Amino acid sequence: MKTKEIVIWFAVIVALVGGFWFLINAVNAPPSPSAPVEIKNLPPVSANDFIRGNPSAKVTLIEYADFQCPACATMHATIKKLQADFRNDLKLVYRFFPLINIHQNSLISTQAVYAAGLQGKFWEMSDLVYENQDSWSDNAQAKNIFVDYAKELGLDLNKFNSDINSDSTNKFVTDAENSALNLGINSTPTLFLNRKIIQDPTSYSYEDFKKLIQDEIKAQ
Amino acid sequence: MKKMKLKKIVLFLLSLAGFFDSSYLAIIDYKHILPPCSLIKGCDLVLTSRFARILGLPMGVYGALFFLALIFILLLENQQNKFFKYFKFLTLIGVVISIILIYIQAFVLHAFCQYCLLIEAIVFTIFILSYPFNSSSR
Repeated sequence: MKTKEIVIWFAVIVALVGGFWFLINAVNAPPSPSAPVEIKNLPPVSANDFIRGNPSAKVTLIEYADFQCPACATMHATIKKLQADFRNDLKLVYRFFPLINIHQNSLISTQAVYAAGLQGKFWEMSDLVYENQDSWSDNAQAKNIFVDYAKELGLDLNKFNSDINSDSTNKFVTDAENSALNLGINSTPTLFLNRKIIQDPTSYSYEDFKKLIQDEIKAQ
Repeated sequence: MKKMKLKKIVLFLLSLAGFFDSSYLAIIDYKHILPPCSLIKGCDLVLTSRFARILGLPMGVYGALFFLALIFILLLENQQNKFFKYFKFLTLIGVVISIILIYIQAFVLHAFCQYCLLIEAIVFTIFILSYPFNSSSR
């Protein structure tokens, strides 16, 4: 191999490795939790919302999510852990934003969780649905899996089966979806902490979230 | 001869750009970060869809390996003029896969990802530039 060729090979390998290394570090930039923007037209927490945690908590986290979105499943586990750490200070408000165009079982999973909610088992069902996302995501018979979950939770199956596709369930889900779209939400999960949007929440580490919540508690 | 050399440099730079774009997509997938999607709405939908990973690996990994192979073929071709047929063959596979991925974005997901479209544009450009390129006529 001529010296010139060795130099070319060396230069290319250095450029590839160096560029790759730069990218790894560049996208590792910590999120900037500073200057959160308050969203004025965010619908206030109402009786229609599903709420978990201390109702008089100082910090309210509103989440718009889709049960079939993988990032939402990861976020679900993170929020659950955060709620265990901030038992009295953090409440979660969960709102539906099913991405029905890209996720085949998004709608049926949302309907199933809503139907379980009508029997007081919203959170139990949403835990099961998120924790087992891989087992039903690509399954054409996902509804049967949700019926099994309903059985496991001891729900009235006749009521569950009729609620899952009732007009009122469909209306609730459609209204929730439209409300999210009107707000300009275009990705899941979208989070609001005390009405302030969290930009790029999937880039936050658990510690980033903890700090954000602690700062919010201090500010109250 | 000079024109051929210039063409090779352009192909090399395009492959390099494709490698870094694909690597970026692979890195954000592994870090669970969604990239800024300011140009085209919906890139987050594409990047979190069921098509974003194949056999457990992000599409970006396959893209980066594809462009890495093109880069090394070009380097080998620079030493001995007999490797370009592999470059053309890989490029053809790249074009077929790019067409499938554009179809999925347009007709299945109804959303586009600007980073993916850039990679697909690079593949098409490489294909157009490389096909009139005849290694035996050099």
